[in-house]
Amino acid sequence: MPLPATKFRCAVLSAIKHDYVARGLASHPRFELVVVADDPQIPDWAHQRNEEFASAWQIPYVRDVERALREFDVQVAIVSPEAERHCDLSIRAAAAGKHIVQDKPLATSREMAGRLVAAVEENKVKFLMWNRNFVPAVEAARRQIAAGEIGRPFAVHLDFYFAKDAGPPKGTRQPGDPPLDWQAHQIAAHVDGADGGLGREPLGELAIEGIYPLGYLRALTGAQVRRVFARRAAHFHQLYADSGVEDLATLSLEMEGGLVGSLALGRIGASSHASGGEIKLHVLASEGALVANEARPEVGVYYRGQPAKEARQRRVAGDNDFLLAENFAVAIDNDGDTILDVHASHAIFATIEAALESCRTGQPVEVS
Amino acid sequence: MIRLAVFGDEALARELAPRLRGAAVDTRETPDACDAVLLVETNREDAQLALRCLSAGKHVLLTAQAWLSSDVLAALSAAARNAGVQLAVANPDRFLPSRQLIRQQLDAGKLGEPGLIRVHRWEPAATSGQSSELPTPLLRDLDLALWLCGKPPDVVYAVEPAIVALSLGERERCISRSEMTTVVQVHLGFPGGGMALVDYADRLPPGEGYQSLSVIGSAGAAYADDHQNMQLVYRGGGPQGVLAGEQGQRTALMTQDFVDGLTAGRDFSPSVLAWQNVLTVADAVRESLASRRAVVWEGR
Repeated sequence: MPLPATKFRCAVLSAIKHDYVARGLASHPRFELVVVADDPQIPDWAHQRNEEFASAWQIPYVRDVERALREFDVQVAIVSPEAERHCDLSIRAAAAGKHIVQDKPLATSREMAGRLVAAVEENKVKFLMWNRNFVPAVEAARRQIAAGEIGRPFAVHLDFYFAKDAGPPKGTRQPGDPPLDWQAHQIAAHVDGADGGLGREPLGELAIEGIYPLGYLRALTGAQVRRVFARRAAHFHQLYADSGVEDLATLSLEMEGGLVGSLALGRIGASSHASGGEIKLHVLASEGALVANEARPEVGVYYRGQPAKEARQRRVAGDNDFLLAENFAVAIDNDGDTILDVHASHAIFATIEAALESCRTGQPVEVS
Repeated sequence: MIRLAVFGDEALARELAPRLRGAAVDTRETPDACDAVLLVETNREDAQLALRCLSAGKHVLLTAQAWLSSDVLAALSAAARNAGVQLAVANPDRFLPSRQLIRQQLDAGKLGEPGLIRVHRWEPAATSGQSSELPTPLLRDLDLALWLCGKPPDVVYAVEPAIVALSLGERERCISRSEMTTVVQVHLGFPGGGMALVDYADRLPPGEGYQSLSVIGSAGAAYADDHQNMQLVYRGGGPQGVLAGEQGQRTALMTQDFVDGLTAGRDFSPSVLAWQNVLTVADAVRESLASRRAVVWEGR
C-alpha cells in the first residue's frame, strides 16, 4: 500500500492583495493553511484584511512573520502582500528554509529581484510564481505544439486585455483637482478584485499582469526573450495618467532560436468586452498555425436584470489552481523545477524591465 | 448616371451591374464611351492602361497594389490633373463589411480615441509570389491601421524570424530573404500614443487563410476575428471549421463609394495620399528590418 503523500503546512505571509493565491493552493488536499502572518508595522487596513482572511479560514493571525515561520511547523510560505513587499517576505521565508508560492509581480526593483533569486538558490527551496499556465486553452495549445501538430513555432502573438475599469476615464479630472492617489484607489478596488497594483508605488500593466502572457510564451515555446521593442501609454484611465504609468502596452519580441512574437496587453475598461477581456493566443509554425481563445471552455449566461458588470461568458472546467498546486507538490517531492520557478520569473521580470527601457528610449533593448 | 467600364473582367461586371446605384456597368477593351474605369487586382503592366484611360479623360479607380509605387502614383496623378479627371486608389479591405462597421463606430465616437490596432493576416504560401516587395495584403493591412488611427505613424519597427524551420525531414537552416516566404511583424507608434501591431505571414499549408482585426479605443473596442466566425462541419474525426466569410460584398461597396464620390464631385486625391503614406511606412519597414532599429520621424 503506498504511503500517504506528505501534507504541506502553509503560512500565508500577508493576504492583503490576492487571497486567491492562498485559496488556490488550499484547494489541493496536500496543502493546509495553518497561520496568517504579517509584520506589525503595516497599516491598520492591512491588518484588518489579514484578520478577516484568518477568521474565514479559522486559523490564527500572528503579527510576527518570523515567529509564524518558526512556531507553526510550516513547510510553505504563500506570499501575497503589496508588490513592493513581495521580495522582502519571500527572502525571509527562503532564509527560514520554507518553500515559496508568490503572487506576481516578482519584484519592483532589479536589485530585489536578484536578491530573491540568490536567496532561493542559497537556501535550496522551491519557488512557484502563481500563474495561469494550466488554464485549459493554454495547456491544450502547449500539448498540440509539444506533439508536433503544427511543426516548430516561429512566431507567437499574445493578446491579454483585462476589460476592467480603474477609476474615472482619462481626461475627466477637472482643472484644479488634485491627481488621483494610486494607493487609495487600489485599496478601494479590493472589493471587486481589481487591485492588482496594490502598493504605494504605482505600477503599470506591464509589471502588474505581464507575467501571465509572458508565462504563456515560455510554456508554449520554452524560449527566452532576447530583445524587445515596446510602446506604452496611459490611454484609458485618469489614475494611470496621473501616476505616470501605462494601462496599455505593445511589445515586439525577438527570442532565442530565431522566434519572434508580440504582446498587446492592457486594462482597457469594463465597456470594452462582454466578459472581462479578450485573451488570445496566435502561434505560427512550420507545418501550420493555431488560434486559441484563452477563456474557453465557457458558457454564456444572460438574464433579465443582469448587472452590467457581470460577465456574460463564464469560464468552466478550469483546473489551474489544482494543477499549479500539484506541480508545486511534485517539485518539492522530487526536488524538481516548478512550472514557473524563480529563474523563469526573473527572466520575465528582465523582459518587462527591458520593455520599459525601450519605451523610454524609443529603440529596441537587449534583455539582460 | 456614371458609365463605368470594367476592363476584361466580364464576371466582375456581371456581379456589379445589379448592385450599383447611379452607374451602368459594362466591359470594355478600350477607354471610350465610358465616364470612369474600374481596374481591380491589377498588375504592373496595367499602369499603362490606367495612364491611357486617364489621358483619355476617364476617371480611374485602381485597387491598391504593391506595384503602385511612388513613381507610378506620381505619373498617374499628373495624368489625372492634366486631364481634369479623378484618380482614386482604394484598398478593397476597407470595404469589408466588418471594417466598415468598425469605422462607423469610430466615426460615431462609440469607441473613443483609438489606442491599439491589432491585425493578423495569415495566407497559404502559394498566394504570394517571391518578391522583394512587401506583399500587397501586408500593405493593405498597414493602410487599415493608418486609416483606423486617422493619422500616419511617427515610429516604425519591424521584425522577422531569423530562421524558419523547414518541413520534417528537411535540414533546418538559415534561409535567405529571396527563398523565404514573407513573415513580418510591424509595430507602429502614432502621435498621441496610439499603437498598431500588424502581423503578416504567408506560411500556412495549402488551403484557407486567417484574418483578425481588433480596435481598442479609449471608450470601447471592436473585435472582427475569423476565429469567432467559424461554423463547424463534422465529417468524421475532429470537426472542421468553415469560415462564414464576408468577402463577397467588398468590391461592390468599394465601387459604389467611387460612383457616389464622382456623382458628388468628391476630390479623390486624399486616397492617393493615403497610399503614398503606406508606401512611406513600407520603406520604413524595410529600413527597420535591415537596421534592426526603429525608424523615428521627429515632429510628426
